[in-house]
Amino acid sequence: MKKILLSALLTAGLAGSLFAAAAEDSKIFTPFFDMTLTEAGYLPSEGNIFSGGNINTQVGLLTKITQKDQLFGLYNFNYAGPGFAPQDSRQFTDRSMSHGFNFEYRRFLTDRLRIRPGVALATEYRRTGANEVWKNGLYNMNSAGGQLAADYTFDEEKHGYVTAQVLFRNVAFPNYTDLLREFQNAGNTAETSGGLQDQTMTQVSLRPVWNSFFAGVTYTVQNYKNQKVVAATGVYGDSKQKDTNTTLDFGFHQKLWVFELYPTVSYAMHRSNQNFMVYKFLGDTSPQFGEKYYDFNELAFSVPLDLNVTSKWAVGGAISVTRRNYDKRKARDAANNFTGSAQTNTMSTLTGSIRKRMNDVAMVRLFYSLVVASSNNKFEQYMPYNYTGNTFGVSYQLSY
Amino acid sequence: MWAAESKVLSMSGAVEVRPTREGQWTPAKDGMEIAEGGAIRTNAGGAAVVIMPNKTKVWLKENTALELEQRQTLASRLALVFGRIKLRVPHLLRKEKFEVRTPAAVCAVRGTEFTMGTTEDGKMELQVLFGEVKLKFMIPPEKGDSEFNIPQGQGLKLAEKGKATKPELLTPKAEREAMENWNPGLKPSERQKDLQQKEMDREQIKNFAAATNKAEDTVKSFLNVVKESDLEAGRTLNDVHGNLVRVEQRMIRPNANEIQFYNIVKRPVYSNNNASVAGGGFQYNGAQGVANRLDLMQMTMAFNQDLPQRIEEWPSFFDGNSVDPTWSSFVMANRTDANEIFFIAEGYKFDQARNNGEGELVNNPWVISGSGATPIAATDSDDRQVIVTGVLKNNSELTAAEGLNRIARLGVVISGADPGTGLLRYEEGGSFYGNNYVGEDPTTAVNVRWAIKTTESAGYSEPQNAPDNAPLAQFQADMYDVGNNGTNFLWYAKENYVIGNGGEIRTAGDFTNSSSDPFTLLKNNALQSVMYIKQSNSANPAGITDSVLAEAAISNTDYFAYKHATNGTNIDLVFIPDLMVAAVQRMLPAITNLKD
Amino acid sequence: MKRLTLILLTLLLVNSSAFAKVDWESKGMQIAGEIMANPAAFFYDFQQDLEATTPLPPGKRFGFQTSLFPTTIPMTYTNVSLKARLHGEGRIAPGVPQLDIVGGYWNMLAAKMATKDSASIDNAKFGGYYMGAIMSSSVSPRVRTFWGYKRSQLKARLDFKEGEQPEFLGTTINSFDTGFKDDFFIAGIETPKGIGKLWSIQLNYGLKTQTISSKVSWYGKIFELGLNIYPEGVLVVHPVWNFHLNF
Repeated sequence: MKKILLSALLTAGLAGSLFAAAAEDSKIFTPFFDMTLTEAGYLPSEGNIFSGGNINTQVGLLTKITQKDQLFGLYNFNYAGPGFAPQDSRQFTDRSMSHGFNFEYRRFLTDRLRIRPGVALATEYRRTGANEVWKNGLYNMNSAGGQLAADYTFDEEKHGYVTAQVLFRNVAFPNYTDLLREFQNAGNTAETSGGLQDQTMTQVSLRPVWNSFFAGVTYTVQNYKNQKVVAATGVYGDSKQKDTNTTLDFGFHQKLWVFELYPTVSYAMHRSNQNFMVYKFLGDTSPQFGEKYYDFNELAFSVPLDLNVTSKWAVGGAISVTRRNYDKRKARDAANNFTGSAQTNTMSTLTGSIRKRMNDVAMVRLFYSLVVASSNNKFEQYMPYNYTGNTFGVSYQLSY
Repeated sequence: MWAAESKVLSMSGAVEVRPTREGQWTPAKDGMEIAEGGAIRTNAGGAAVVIMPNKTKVWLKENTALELEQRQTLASRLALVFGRIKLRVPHLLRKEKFEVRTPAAVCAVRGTEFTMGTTEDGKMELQVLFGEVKLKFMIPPEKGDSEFNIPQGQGLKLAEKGKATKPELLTPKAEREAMENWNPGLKPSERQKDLQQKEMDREQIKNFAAATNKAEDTVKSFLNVVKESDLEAGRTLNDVHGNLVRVEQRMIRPNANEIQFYNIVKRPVYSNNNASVAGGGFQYNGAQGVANRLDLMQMTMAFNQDLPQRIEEWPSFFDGNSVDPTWSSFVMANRTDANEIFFIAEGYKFDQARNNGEGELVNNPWVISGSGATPIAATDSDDRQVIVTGVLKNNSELTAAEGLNRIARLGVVISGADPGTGLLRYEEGGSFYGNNYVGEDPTTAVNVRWAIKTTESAGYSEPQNAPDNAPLAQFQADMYDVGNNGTNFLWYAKENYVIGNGGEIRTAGDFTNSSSDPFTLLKNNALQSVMYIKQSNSANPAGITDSVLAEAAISNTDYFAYKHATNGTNIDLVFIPDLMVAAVQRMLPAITNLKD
Repeated sequence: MKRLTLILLTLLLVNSSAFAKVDWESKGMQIAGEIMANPAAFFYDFQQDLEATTPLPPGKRFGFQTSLFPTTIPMTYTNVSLKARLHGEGRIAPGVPQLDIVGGYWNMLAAKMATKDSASIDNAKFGGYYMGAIMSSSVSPRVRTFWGYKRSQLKARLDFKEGEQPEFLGTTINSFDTGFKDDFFIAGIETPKGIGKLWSIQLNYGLKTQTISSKVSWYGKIFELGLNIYPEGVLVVHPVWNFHLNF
């Protein structure tokens, strides 16, 4: 960890001194900085008010080695604090902090074709409350991998091109174990040293872009290294867990007079061979079996609209809806028993914001948002499913 | 190569040079030299770049006249007669001075890039791009300052000689115009090409950043998390015997009105070399090198009202209502073998009569006397601590795990038919459940008893008066009367250690004399508790008056046999404070309320 | 913009019906719990308020700063900070960033005053210091990035009077020494808003404890108004008011 941070320091320092040289007429180096800070108060319909912030810092450098060769380096620091999140993703108070490095080499093979191999390293810490130890977070994640992408420009005038990308990641969760399964069923032996959710992720995607319309098809396969599939008896068998996800998305960005509209819609299908055992308490001798627990289809669309009142001020609004239908997972009632109907989650968000450009690099935004989440799952002891929430916050961004 | 004189680096259009102070104006050519006192001027459509011996670069736009008044090693001065120039002055030697003069002011610079324009009658403007310009008006204005230090990003406009003015921020437009490429021979559309290229590059890198962010987000979003607990924590460390330990803690709610906290411990290999015995510790009689050793501590508490679904609502719930716990239980168990479980359990029930009618949780024989029994008063001699302990095995009616569940829910009752023996029966709904005693194994031997703490005997506690920096290790044992009949006794013994992640025993000094904050200390430490139930060498509790006699009364033989007629075992738990910190924060209002 | 924010906030606060559900007492208890769980971090948040980690404005060589709110009042952290510019941007060689040395010291006055009346505490030292180096370079005439390193330490030491020492797990304690110490990496961007006025945003990241904080600052000629956000801190948002003199 220290090594990563030391490298970050060195990269930023190196980048900085290069920038200084770059400031005066450098064709070779182009720096990029982006710092976004958001702090908001959240008021859910049940429960007390809480505050959460988001800090996102990006430092990047583009190096033009020759006309045809370019090198990108990007360091990303992201802190995501407590806040409202889609159901089945995390609790309100969960927070995470991540560091990421990305290096990409670009080469123009021909006038229209460009290939981009790249390397990525990331580490993420998660914890569920303040004053917990980041280092010990159960869901801490390290990922390393690379990608190879190719862009082909088919319409220069209208800015049309197609990107094909193959991405590979090796994801490790060094702290995650599950001793409980060994206590719940004598047939299981749990690992002591972590890494239960370690997996390799392969992703293939095709994304055409034309005249500010964009679309994409993405197919992801997750192969778990250690996690096995649990059978109805509660014993983890021999076959390893494997997940696949297919996502289609589409959107566009249009400017009409003072209005700016950029809607997107996406549809994802997630399939897994993993089942789930519900233990109501430690020592529960009659657990419930959830077959094919992680299969779902999800439809999401979002329509943000900005009204540029003056060159400095803009008023914006957005509406976004996400709907997830589980295939075989049954909803639970308030007593933690499975009912007969499959679980469906819906989350709608309505946002209004006022944005002011402080100068050409800085921007401040005040926003208010209303979240309505509903689900037919009534067991809400550990994860929130049905609530409405109000959020109000301020966000600063400095981007060069 | 140091040129002795300034040179015209490049030019385009109509440009004239006067090579020396008294020379003639001649059309300029690339590479032409200009000596001190010389001058250069561009006419309509002309542009030129001059490079000076100290590496200063001067760009001239059209209709500009510039004189090189002075060009010594340590002092240079240019005079802008009219027009617009851009200068890039590199870092100078220590005592070197560089000045640019207009009809209205003198600017001194070091390591600066700036643009400047003037008319012959003194109207001038200045934009500083990098570095700093010290400007001094030749004719001080009536009002306002006559000297300014103008740092980068600012500019100054003087409408008329002698008029007051102040620096102001550069507008984006002025900055662009100053930053664009001033090299001669470029068409106007080409001048901004570099800047535009840079902006496009920045767009690209922005898109790249956004795309990588999206990729990383999708990687994270595919993490399947199903949270089945309110709080959870885990850590891997070494215990005091040197075994590798994995500890997991969770807090869950089995029913709407119950909280269950459990701390489970797994060791791939368990060995206990009895190193503590020499220092006053207790003997471990079990096997060495036990594989997949599992221990657990489970605390359950039930309330008289259903708790709100979400933990965020608890503070206000406890605050607003009179919530009381109804019962609570602590179960510590060695669960290495699910069919043969050695455990120690303590139960608590809520006695409304205590505490001036406010009520509190009590632990005495009333807890296991069955529903409908009358509570024991505080003045009663029987109001002492009670434990239920022993070894559970599978039998025809219940598996060991199910038996432990029932004990955890206080579903056991003293067997009235066998007074004084310490035997128990399972109870459900006010009547006996099953025909077997609690802990009855297939050979009909019964290996679970209840015992009450003796008042007459002194407890064993070592060390007694620890010096200031002694290791934080404590051994203690208390004598318990099996079945409260005064004939059969056992010792409930505990070894407590405060250990670090490597298994070393901490000292008090580690906590009070470190420059780290208490929180950092917590995350590097853990509490290990090794529990035994030992036979008693003495049947006379009144005779044990101090800790030394108590030590002699504790036998090395375990009270309950485990795995073998002559073997016993222990419960070896490691607690990490990680969850406690989180729980305290979340539930502080609840805890304060409960205390009240 | 600031006025608009204030007006909206006042409106929201006045409209109590929307806030009927906010349980301030519980919230207060929760904050108390967080302070108890990690008191050093709570006090360190106020030290971060007084740490001056922005570079000297272009052209200035020496700076002195003291923080007024919320450090001197009400926390009684009397403090002083100094900044010195070792070399300006591009002075040593083209491209070499400006290097500033920063440092400061503070002491809690209330601690000293409290021990005078205390029966059990003989001596209480509550203070801290920080020192660091900031490098800054311009990427365009009006945008300057800066980054650097600082080391912060907060020391809290209580000496107990003879005979009044408390006990901890069977051993007596003569003194209690705790605190907070970490090395921070700082990164930020700065842009001028007017003559002598700078606006900057910076991120501080603690390498050992992974403490993060983000500071937004309106830096004027004499006064600096800041909004410090400590996402994992107890009081998440600290408005800050500092006084400085740069030469």
